[in-house]
Amino acid sequence: MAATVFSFPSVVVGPATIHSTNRTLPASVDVIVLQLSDPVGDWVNPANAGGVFRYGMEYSEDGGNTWKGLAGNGIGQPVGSLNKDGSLPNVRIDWGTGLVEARNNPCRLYASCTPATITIGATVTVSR
Amino acid sequence: MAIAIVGDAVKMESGSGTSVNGAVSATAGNALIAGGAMFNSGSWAVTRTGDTYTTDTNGANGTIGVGIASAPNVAGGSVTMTVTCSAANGVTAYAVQLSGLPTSAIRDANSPAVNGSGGTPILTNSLTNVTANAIYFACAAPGTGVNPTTITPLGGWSDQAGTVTMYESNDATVMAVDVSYLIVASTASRTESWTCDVGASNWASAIAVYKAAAGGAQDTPELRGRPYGLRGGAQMAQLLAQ
Repeated sequence: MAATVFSFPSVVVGPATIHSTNRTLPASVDVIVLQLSDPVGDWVNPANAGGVFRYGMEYSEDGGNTWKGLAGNGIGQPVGSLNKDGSLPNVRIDWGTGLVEARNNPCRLYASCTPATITIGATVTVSR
Repeated sequence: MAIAIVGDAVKMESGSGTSVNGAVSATAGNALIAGGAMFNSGSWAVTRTGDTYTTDTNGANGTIGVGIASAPNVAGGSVTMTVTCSAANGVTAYAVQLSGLPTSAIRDANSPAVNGSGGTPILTNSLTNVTANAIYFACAAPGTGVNPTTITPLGGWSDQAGTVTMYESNDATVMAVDVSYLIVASTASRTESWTCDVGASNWASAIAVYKAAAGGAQDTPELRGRPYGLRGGAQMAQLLAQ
């Protein structure tokens, strides 16, 4: 399967957890990469240092009543932190047996930032 | 009981931050092992609702850290696992499901200290299993900073869990690591070693061992008669048929 890219418009993220609109995960997905983008430079702005940003992707097996974590950055990370090579953060889950449950089901992103409020965008690439 | 890898390993990965999480499915009563590498010298802690994890080995060589944690008798279904490493900036972790282990006290012997050095090969400190039927896990972080970095387990150890190779080659953006295992049927002192194509500059490695549940025979390459192995077994069958 060719990689499918879901783009999510940039949003203002603050202490209250926000969610994206739902997308349906393809039936054959085995790899998910959730990549942050920094459209207005908030992530690397030193004024926002000290904030803790938490983000990830979750799925529902009951039509959106309850949600389970699929991939994320766990307890969160400092605003401004970058990958080893200086690129913007991403999280990845590969070949997860948990992906079986998520396939063909609604998925959504979640994010929160405490105490800073920043603008962040994201793309999700799914492939196998 | 015979120890077996169940399903595919799950890789959870982030090139920054102290923790990652992912959905990890399991059959209730089985065991989960979570091993991998982190970019720094932090602790290695694993949580999954319904499970109780013990960090069996954890340490670092400079900024290259490794860890292995385990939980017996885990909760069934798809449940979020979180791996958290204090002070890390990037985590690569593999979760592996095992059957055939006890429902408590699965660690067979205490792990030696994390090993760390420079150059190749990468190797662990030695560890002796107390129970004959056991499974060793080991992980190596080469610390090259190079993408790709090819790490290859030696000595008959495997890094295949289901369809997944427990190997991350990108040591530039994320943490390169190889997680390998060896199912054994006799007690002995063992180490694991890896080759690394670009030369490991500042590596770290860890090793742990888990025992089989009591009862039943183990079906392992060793019992199948290494050095006969599968190929040797077929040759023996041919000889017997003649």
